[in-house]
Amino acid sequence: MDGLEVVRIEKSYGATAVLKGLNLECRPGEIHGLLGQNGSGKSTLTKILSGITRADSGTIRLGAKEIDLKTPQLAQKHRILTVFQELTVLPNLTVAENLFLGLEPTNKLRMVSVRDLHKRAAEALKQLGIENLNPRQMAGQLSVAERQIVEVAKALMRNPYVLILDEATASLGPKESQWVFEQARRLAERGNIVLFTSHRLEEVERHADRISVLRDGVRVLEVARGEVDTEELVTVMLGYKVEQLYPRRPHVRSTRPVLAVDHLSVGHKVHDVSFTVGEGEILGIAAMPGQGQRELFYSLYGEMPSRGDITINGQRVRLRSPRDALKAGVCLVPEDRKTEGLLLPLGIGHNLSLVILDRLARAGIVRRRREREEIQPQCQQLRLPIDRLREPVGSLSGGNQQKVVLGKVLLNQPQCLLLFDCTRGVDVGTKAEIYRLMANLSAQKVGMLFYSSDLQELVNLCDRVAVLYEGRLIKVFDDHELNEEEILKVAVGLNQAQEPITLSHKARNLP
Amino acid sequence: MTQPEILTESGKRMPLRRLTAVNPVIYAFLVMLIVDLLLQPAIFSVSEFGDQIASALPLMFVAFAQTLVVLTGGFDLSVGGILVITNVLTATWLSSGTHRLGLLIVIVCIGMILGAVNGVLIAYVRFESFIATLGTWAIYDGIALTILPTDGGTVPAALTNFVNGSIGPVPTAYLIFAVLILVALYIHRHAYGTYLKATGADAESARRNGIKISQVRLGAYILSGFFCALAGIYLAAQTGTGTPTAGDGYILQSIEAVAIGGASFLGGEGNLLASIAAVFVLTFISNIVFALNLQPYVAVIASSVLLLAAVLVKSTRQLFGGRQG
Repeated sequence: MDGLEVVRIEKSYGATAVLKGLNLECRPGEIHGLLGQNGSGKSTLTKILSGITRADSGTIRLGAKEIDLKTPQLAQKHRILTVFQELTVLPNLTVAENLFLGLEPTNKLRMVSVRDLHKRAAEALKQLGIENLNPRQMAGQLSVAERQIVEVAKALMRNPYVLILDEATASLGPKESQWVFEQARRLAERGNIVLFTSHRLEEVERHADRISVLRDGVRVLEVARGEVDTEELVTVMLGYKVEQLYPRRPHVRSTRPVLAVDHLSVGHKVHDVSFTVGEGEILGIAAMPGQGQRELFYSLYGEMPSRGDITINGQRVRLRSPRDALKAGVCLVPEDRKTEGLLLPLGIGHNLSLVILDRLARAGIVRRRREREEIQPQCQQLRLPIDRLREPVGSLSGGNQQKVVLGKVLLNQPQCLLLFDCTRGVDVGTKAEIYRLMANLSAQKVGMLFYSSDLQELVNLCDRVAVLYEGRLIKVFDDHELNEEEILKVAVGLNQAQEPITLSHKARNLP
Repeated sequence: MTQPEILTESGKRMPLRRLTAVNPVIYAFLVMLIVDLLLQPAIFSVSEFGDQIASALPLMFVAFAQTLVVLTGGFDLSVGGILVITNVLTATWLSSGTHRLGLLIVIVCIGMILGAVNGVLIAYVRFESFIATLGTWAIYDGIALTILPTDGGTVPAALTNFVNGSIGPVPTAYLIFAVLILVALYIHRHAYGTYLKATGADAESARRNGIKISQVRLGAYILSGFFCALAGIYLAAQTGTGTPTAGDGYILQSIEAVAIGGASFLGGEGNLLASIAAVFVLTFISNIVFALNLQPYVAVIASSVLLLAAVLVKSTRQLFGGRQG
């Protein structure tokens, strides 16, 4: 067969088999969607295809020829380029240096001309339709979305025959995501292959010509676009039927505010924002990337200085550090579980108990039995693997890691929870559990401020949704007004009168 | 059709950035230069300043070596060991008379091999650089003492005269210094310079970008050995003798210079020219202390204060400089 073919690939880490004889075929000219929960083997497959890790057995064929992908260099030589979920943009290099890393245009002395480099980078970016990136800027100063775009551009510039996008749109807004898929379509139309994973089902259904679903290290389904509906895809992915992704919960009308924010400003990013979160209420924040949501959340967690009044449970507080916030009963669940909030080499148990050591210790000595008693019910509630409490958190799947973060937060018994895009890059099964947890917390009168880049989530979970645009709260949608399209219109800064930019079908109209 | 505008929020730069983006070592360099100039203007004649450079050159070589390793995110404590081995070899082998140039090249190669030993231990056997070079430092020191237990040996007059003399009207020290600057520019402009930074900043990302990180690291330690060998040979030629105990002072001083030059010991950030400038700063400080007739330890205190100041500038900048890394 032409194209990319993966035959009976097996891979184990220690005693854990991750891929168990996986097969996959991608035809030339197609965009192939890869679906699967965290831990289904998607990431391992992409790592094998990009030469990061080697399979234990099995064959990979490219254009009917068997290839051995021992190193990332070899994969790139076969024109297999990967955009990794963990970005590989180097913060201490400029955008241009990142784009040309390994392909620097050099003179006879193998020296790089900086001017030439910047010129070429600017040209390349322009050709890809990216106008607003300065090739001279240090990549470390870019936002996550911008880095992601650089990453995609870098892969595209290397003229890939197989382009692998591993959650490439997770941190992107709709316009940027659309750009990614336009580029992917363009590439495919020239007879190349695009293999992509996404936790946004709707994205996979819309853009993939064919979809392969992985579960427990094998492919359980391969279909063309539109052959099966969403519900069935989810069922196949999980291996069981989800009755209800979003839990039913009574609408909470804010009576007693847990968190009241009055005229809050943070740097140049958040201007004069006021709102309240009532007991048990889930207040959603909708915003395109970089509208100040990060600053808003982090200032409420005491990580950034702010001006204005913050009242928690009727008490005016000053939050100068996360410690202050925790004391006041505010907890944050961050988006990036790899770098924030988890100690990866330590076990689940230690990660959980770290936050409550004060409570566990008597005269400074930690009582291990108390520790177990406190942690076990928490693990049960979160459905964490209790038998693996000592394993380093770094070896758990992304979904489980996020649950450990949640577990930590809940052990603090917060009154107000700040959820910052905490479902990003998390599989459907774990998402459902997080939603269930949120509903439980709401019933226990915990107020929640919930930012999500997934509007569907906001609409289905929140009591109200406030839209943040350029650092200002410009509109609040009440429960009965919640509607994805309307929220999106406001979030991209459109007045109702204006014709909205349609984002959904443009990708198919390409020449 | 037109492309949709993406990333519309991006790319605004603050104009003030430009001023603060200058490496602070430049300011330190200028201030110290001026103070030194005011205190003892005589030093800045062509030949006197040549002597200044000559006395600073060994540390420059070592700081150069150290910078390369620090860029990859490592430490090289064995710089002193390599320096003394090559130093005593120069003082013992070259006196025999024949094939002097060939022997010098062999000595440089030995320096590179000693560096390669570090490189292999660190890049392939995966030792922590600090521990690996702590070990080889002691071993190399021991070897040097075995070759030449006390100060001594002789260096051919030709070499000493060459190093301490001049080529035409220009003192040799100036020429060596100029070549060093050119090499620094070359390395930074070479693709390898970028790979060094990439590897130091995030080895895994660099690997995923197709960079052969083990080779890059190995290369850094070999180059480190190369420059330490130059330092060792130069020192022997300059003093006309071998000094098996000369190395230790250079280790911490080179690290100090690299830090004052603004490099990050987490890797990925650093500049060879800045490290050279930092060596000058240290030289000027000891000059100033000498001119003011103060005790020598004052120089140590002053340079340490400067070191802490450099680190302070860096950390405050990170605090206010927005996203980084």
